[in-house]
Amino acid sequence: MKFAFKALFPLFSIVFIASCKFGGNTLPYMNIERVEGADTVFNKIPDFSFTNQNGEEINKQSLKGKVYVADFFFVSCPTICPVMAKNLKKVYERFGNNDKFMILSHTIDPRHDSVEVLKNYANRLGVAAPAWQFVTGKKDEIYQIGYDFYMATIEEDDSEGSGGYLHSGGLILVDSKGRIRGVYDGTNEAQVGQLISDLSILLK
Amino acid sequence: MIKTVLVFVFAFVLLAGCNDADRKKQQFISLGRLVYQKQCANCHQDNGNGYEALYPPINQSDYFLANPLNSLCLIVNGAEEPMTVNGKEYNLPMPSFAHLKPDELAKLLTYLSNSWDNDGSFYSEEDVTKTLATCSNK
Ligand code: HEC
Repeated sequence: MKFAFKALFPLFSIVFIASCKFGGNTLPYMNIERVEGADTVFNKIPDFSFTNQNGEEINKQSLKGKVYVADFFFVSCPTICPVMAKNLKKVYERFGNNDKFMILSHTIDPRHDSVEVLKNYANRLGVAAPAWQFVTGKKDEIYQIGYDFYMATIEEDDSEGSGGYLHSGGLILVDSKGRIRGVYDGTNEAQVGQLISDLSILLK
Repeated sequence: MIKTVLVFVFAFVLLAGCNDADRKKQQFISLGRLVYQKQCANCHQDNGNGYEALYPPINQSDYFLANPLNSLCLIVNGAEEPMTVNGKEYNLPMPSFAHLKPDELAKLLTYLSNSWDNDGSFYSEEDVTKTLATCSNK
């Protein structure tokens, strides 16, 4: 009995610390900029202005209070994007009618992916805004936000079969306070399953 | 595991009783499957049925089955123009697969024709080379 208690004590303290630190769940924080005493300062999403598949402006304000999944793709992508889209659609089907939820897909090929091209793609995939936003904009602004905030890998690439771009296929999970809580491989079904269960925690 | 072994044993017994042409066809189907899995299945899917209104089916596709050799130019050059498959319109671009060699294309085409509910034809490297000569800008 005594032994059991001794063994349980550290366990309790870990659970206790974890729950105070992570507010009841164990998802990590991935965009901490620095810690100042008791305060954690997060790397904040910069201001931006993009246009969605309906021609509407999407900016920082549109993300307010949303738990969202960000990704980078392009419509004519030959390799991983079709797989990512299929996996993300499962996420959309699960949470699409929760108004706190959003998917934000940025094209990395804004020269080809105009508003009309994105609209056609969304319609054909069978999804719609506001739950799934496909956005285009100034190329520099899209790439910058990808590197600076979402920690994404995006490069132009003209090797065979790449379709002109190299990118990581990462799905980035952001909570309602703009904190990155997970990065998942959008081509891997198990990781997308993990994303779905992490989303259920954040959307509770 | 046992299933896989049995499939191989059966395949072996069957092949052993086949003539050369059948054996070559079986070989093309197996090798063509590898090309399909690597290059095409992410869009057209393992079951050949395509995905949503984005990517058309190859299984039981009226476009493909009308004359599978005609799809060769499309595979090599890619596609930009909208097309109708089984009464539905598709308009996303298909990338070009200009790097596939005639022997790979023959295997791929034979695989597509012998998969799912398609018609079971065989295509040789010569068939492919002849057709490729007729494709524009290739
Ligand atoms: C990036 C996605 C993508 C990949 C990869 C892809 N296709 Fe396609 N495929 C398409 C689209 C989109 C169309 C319709 C094109 C159009 O509307 O002009 C199409 C059309 C076709 C068609 C004619 C219509 C039909 O379905 O019968 C055939 C045949 C075909 N593809 C075969 C292939 C083969 C073989 C490969 C692999 C070497 C391949 N595709 C790889 C997207 C893709």
